[in-house]
Amino acid sequence: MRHSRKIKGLGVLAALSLLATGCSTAGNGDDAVAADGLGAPSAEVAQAAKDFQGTFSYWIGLTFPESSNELEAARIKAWGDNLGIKTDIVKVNQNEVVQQTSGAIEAKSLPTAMTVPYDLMSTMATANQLTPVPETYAAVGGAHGGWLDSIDAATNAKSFGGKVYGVPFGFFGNVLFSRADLLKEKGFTTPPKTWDELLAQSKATQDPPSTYGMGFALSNVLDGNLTTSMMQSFGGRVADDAGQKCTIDSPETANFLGWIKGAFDAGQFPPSAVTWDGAGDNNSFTSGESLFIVNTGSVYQSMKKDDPDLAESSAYSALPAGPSGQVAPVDPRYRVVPSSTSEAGKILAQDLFETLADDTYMASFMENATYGPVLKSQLDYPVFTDSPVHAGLLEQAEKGTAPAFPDTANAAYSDYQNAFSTPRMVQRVLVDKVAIDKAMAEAQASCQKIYSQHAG
Amino acid sequence: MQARTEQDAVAAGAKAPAATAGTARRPRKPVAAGKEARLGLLLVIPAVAVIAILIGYPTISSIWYSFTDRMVGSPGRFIGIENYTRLATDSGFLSAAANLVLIVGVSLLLKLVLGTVVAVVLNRPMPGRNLWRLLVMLPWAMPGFVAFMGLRLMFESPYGAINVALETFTSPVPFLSDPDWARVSVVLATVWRGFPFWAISILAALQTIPKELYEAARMDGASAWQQFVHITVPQIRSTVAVVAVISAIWTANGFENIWLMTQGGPSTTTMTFPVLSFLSLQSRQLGQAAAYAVVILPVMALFIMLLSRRKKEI
Repeated sequence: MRHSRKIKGLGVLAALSLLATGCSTAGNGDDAVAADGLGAPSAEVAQAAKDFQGTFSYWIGLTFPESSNELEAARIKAWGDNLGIKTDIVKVNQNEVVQQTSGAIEAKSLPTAMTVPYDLMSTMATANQLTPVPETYAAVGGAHGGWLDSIDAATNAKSFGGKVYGVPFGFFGNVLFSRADLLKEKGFTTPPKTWDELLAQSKATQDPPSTYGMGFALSNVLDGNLTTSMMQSFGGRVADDAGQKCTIDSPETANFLGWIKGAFDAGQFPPSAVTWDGAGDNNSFTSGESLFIVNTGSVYQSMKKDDPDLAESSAYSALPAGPSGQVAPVDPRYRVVPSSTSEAGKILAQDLFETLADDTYMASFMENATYGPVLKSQLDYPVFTDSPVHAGLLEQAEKGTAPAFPDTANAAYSDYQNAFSTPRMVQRVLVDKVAIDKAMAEAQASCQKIYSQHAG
Repeated sequence: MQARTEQDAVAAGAKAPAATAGTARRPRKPVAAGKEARLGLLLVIPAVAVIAILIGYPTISSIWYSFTDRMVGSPGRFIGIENYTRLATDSGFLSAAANLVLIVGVSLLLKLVLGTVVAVVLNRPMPGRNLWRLLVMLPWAMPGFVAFMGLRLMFESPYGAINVALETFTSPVPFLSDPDWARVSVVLATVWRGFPFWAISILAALQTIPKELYEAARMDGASAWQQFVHITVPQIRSTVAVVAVISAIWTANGFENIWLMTQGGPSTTTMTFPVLSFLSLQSRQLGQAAAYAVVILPVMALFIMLLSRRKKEI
């Protein structure tokens, strides 16, 4: 009996110590990074923490892989614990952030702070739904060697009326993924530099129905908005320089639509591209169905883990250029404070933004997440030399085009994109077989409706 | 016969107070009746208030929004019927209107046939009948998200399960990307998810039919088909009518079946009003989104009127 108790006791002890070892082994690294640089708060922040009522809620935009989201959540929690405030971190699918935020605006239930894409920041700022954060923007930039020029230009866009509404922490950029192994067999040793080159490589290499060339989404999802950049690289424009009058109905847009119709009718796209969901193009590449896709980098992270051979045999390069040049917009992601947040919450949120910009933390965060750099100190992070996709993002940070370029970035442009207007115009031509002129006229009308609403 | 019995009972009850005058309640005075009515009204106020807040307010707000150019976070201006006049040239709206008839109509027909056949089969004695009944309910019982995502993956071309199964017979079928096939796929998915409700409702109705009717018909030499047409159909007709109206409302308002499978595409081939409304919300146009939602209200009202009438008949 005594022996039995002893054995049981030893067993429990062993299990507990194993558990403790396991926890500390798994948690130590992340915990250390999450808590890095958290010291005594300033008097103003300490007072704000005392004054703050309720729970500090923060919406983070989900990225891939999940470990990045968990690290971000741990960092925010550690910051809250350090100040003695309760935090609530909500992970929001980035494909649904517009709907979720719209609902919260109408219900007056926005969080204390949140991360948003450039488009959403633009529309919220125009509607006075965000708090300007110029001091925090300057402080974060000053502490980390300054902001990259492309990011600084986007953040200080004319349409913001000289105000800064968000603190960038990374950007999404598009990288062309290509099956270098299959293309090499056909004699193509360098990635295509123009859309025509890409089409030629696609035609020569694809073998439908098992392999198609162009795995670009043409459906009503965020990835489908690549067609706007393609149209712009053909010289097509959404609106005039003033950002008020739509100019879609143009010979340049017709040229683009003619080109993509030719490629589609020649069987270069997987037929299902017109109804893909947000993961359709990713799945198409990883399953071997497509030779080319455009992706922000999440597919590379997934392949590194699940199919390292495919990751190794693929090439990663900049987006091809059209007749009017290359359009490869950087799409910065921002941390913002809604104007509905209490004064104490605003002070705390801006302190959090500075905390989240810490280089030790960000280097670890970006190791996995597929964001491009926004601060000069981030250029030295090892991931931007070690990973081919991150290197591509680094190149885009230096050479990429501003959001909406050559169009004017404003709230109307954002809503044009949110409505998937270009892919819907493309679908009218490819699926419904309506004349290019008619499809352009329809798109022009729906675009002008959006722009007029913002003007009026 | 039953009605007469009920009438008799009521009549007997009416005579009772006279026979037992000592214990019977006095005839109610109009004042007391008025008080009771007021109390009744008072008691239903909470329910009416909840309905007004949860249903009335959003409905009236939506109707009002549909006459404005309201965007998320801004009050908008009154623009009359502009949001509605635009619909006449809106390819998405025209497609949604056509699909309201096509997807709802064809789905109902298929659900009726499949639901009736399954109900008749499940009504017969067979080994493991309860297990079969449980299995039939599964598509309806599982979350819509799981059901339609699973179906989407099965319909994918060229590597979806259905195409893989068909590959020895035919080249890949573009179930979701060809306009005609996309409509077929959406209808099939909608039918698969919805037919168990029909089957189980019709099964319940079948179980209320007295067996004597079939025995009498058999003795008169009626064939199985004649028994079905002359006994079963009339007995389940009211149930089928109610189920049809409810199912029509659910299908017309269905969002997840379309959004998860095709997002209304390719182009606007499988577009429906709820998806159109959602796409307008995507670009934060509350006024336009409300117009898409409101324009379907008369059709819904018609369905609800039919339902009310059928319920009264039952």
